[in-house]
Amino acid sequence: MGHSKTGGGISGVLATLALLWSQTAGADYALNMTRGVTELSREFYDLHMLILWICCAIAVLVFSVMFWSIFKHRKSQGAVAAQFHHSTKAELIWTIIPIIILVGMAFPATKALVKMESTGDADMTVKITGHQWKWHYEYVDAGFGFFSVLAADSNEARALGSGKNPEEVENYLLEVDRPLVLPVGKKVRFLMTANDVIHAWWVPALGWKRDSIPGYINESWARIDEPGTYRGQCAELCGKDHGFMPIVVKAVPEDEYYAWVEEALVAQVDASAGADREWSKDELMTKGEQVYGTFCVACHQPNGQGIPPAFPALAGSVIAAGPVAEHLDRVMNGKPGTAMAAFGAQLNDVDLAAVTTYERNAFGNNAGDVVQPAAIKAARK
Amino acid sequence: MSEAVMHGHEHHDHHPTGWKRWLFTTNHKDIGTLYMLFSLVMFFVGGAMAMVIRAELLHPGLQYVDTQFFNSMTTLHALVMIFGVVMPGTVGFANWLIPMMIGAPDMALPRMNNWSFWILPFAFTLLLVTLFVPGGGPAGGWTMYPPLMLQTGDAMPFVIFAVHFLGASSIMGSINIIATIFNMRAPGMSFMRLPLFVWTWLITSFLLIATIPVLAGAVTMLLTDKYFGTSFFNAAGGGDPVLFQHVFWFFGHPEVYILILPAFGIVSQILPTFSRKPLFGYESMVYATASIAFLSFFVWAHHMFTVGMPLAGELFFMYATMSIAVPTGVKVFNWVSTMWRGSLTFETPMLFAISFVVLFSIGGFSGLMLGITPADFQYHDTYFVVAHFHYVLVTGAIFAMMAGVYYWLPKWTGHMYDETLGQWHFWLSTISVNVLFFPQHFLGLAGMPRRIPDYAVQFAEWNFISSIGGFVFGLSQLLFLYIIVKCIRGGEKATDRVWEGAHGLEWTLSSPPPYHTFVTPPQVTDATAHS
Amino acid sequence: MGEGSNDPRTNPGLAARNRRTAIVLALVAVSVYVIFFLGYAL
Repeated sequence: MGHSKTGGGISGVLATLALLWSQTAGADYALNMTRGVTELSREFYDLHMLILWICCAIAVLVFSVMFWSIFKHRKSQGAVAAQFHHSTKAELIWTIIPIIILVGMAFPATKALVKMESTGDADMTVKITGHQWKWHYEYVDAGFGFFSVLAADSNEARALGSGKNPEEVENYLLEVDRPLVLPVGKKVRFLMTANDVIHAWWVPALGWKRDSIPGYINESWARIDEPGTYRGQCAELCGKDHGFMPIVVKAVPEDEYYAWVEEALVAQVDASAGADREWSKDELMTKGEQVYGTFCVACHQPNGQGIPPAFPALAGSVIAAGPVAEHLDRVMNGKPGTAMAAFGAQLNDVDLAAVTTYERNAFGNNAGDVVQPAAIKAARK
Repeated sequence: MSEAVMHGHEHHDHHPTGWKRWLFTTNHKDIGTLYMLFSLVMFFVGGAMAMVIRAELLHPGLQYVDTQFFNSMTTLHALVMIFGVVMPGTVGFANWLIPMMIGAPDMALPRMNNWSFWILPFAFTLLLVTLFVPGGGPAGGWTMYPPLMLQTGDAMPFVIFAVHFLGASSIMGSINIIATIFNMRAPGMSFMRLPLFVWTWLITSFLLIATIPVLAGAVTMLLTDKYFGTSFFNAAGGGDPVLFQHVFWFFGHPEVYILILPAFGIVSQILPTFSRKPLFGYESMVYATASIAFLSFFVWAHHMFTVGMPLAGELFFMYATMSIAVPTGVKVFNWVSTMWRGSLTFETPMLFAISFVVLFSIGGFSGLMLGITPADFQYHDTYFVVAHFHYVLVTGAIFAMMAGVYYWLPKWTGHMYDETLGQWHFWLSTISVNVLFFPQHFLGLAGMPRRIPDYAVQFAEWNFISSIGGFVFGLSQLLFLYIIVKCIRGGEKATDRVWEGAHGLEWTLSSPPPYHTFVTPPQVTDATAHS
Repeated sequence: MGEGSNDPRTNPGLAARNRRTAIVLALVAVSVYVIFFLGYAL
């Protein structure tokens, strides 16, 4: 039996770790949780640090005893084994002391949890709906909402073999087209649900994540103290693009927030304008390409080839070449049991008309026909 | 020591040779070998998937695989490692060792034993062919949460029937183990004289019988939801997606202890041997194991603190989870006390066992942190969780199994393994596994979610280091394979006792033991009991 | 801990006892399945 090199080996491990730690001065070697910008996040952070240090202290204590044995009680140093095999006193001590420590930990944890669950007396409410693979935010009090999807440059760079260097994309995978804008200093209540599968809304700076679950409405809250941009991601596996539905929260002073709400309301009216008029094919194709790029491209791909068999091709598809009614049915009502969502409730009449027209006439498809917003209105009945 | 009667007469049954020996065998040693070899093969299958995952995560951006395939890899890696490596591996130990440790001639139900093993290759064929069916492999995570799991293509029934088969195999194995321990102990081998490994397996078997049917029920409901129009988990049809999570984790948390309790048993055999000192606190070890198993039924929802439970539920599951730290602590303190004032030597099994105690404890600490509900709102579903469960399963369960392989391989094969290479394997594995998993704590705390194929560039440095650690760890296991093959084929002749400090009935047999052992049961007394 | 032989092949009493243990445990497993599956189904 070879003699062990335990001592040398362990110091080797420590040396390796020390080397790793010393490099943290350089690039992005973030080590710890963010302290965040809300009362809750700070409380959770303090709790995290408290448990961490308690665990470290216990570890140092226990491992010191163990390594003392490893160095001092080795046969090669002539150690003769004692033959004791129990001690009721010792066993009682190391049952009772951990219980006391655990009870000590439970107090601040309980306090923080009770605070987390106090979602009452909020100043405003935002309803968050998870979709494969984007977030929808609805400002319940102001009465408007929008989708927030991965920013175009990240989306382009993240494609398999895109040839683009993620290091050169600003906020790679953590940027969206439209951030969630919130006022600082206001208690915001979040209601969370999902449209298809389970997602989880997580912005570390706010201190928590909550699952958004179809058929459920979960509640949570935050009062952001400092203006700034805070980034997060979906935290529950939700399918192939789970890693590509980031969250960006822009916290702004109150007056700035109200100005932004005004603008957003005007923009919303503009967007739904034109639902009653006749659209030209060119107009529909341009609009349709834009809608396709936001809602369809993740599965059906920029060239309409899809990723068969999970995500069928639209190019040459029998549905895109078949009767308009069936095509609209698939777009508006989805296909249960697959990732094909029902877009009828997500998009307005113009968007639906445009994207259907686009699908019928792009990627080499040449149905030739045009779907007008009025047809959508009729189909909704 | 009542010298065991070993062969004496070469028995009437001339067992078949060649492949028929293995296909029709009812011998606990042959079946134990089959389980262990199966586990070893699956270790490399699951390991290859881990290499794909770490290669894709080496740099930000997608380089090698598409996201759907990446998700299949994480899903199958988990299923293969849990159901194909750790569970069959520990059942292999049980088959080889329990009869030899309690002085029984074989397992209680030898033909069922054959069946429990031979289901496994079929089950894993079903599971792994999903990579080639239309729609690709299962990609909803090993936890199979609906509604996402219901979006699986043709792979879905394959996965579900594979899980059913694996469950049937585990339940039959558990029944066999319980019947063996209850009915087949040698005279004088009372329950409180059972080696701790036997105790941990007895408790594990009860966990399996109580929880595997729950998993089977849950996945059957998934199947009927997908193909027969039921709405157990479909919110639109009046079902409840969270219900699945409750049912799954009611199985899933005891499952965690199913994976780790036999590892506790193995380590509790090895530490006394190389400390040349009896196990400290045998009785409290038994009670601690039983308490952990009992408590494991009341903590399931700590896997789902973020689903939005009522405050009272969150508090209950937090307190229950924290309380598991007490018996787990008792075990660690007892192991350290076993070493205290012993006469220690550091052969490969001992090195792995010590490494287990240290690194499993680190996993235990992060487990305690995860149990604190408010902090879990940050930790949940991040790489912090990934680091946690790999510390308890790789440096926990797998390291204990490696320790066990080095410890009993001379008994099984009759040859000593190559100690120098064993030490190399240990140091390479221990260092690389920490380079692999320790940085994942930092990644999780810094905000990297788990199960993502690509990540923001601020996570690039630690991911790179983690991947390098992963590749070295993966390659080191080829050395493990080489050491095992070399040991099976030859080497220094092992003595009966093999290790100076070894105690227990299995060490009274020759190395390798004859095909049939303890046909006449040995008499066990206080002096010969306990390792 | 049976009387006489510890080998079910030569000790029919022990073999019967092993079978009984197995049947009881199998019934436990099946009832857990039934309780969970039918319990939710009904």
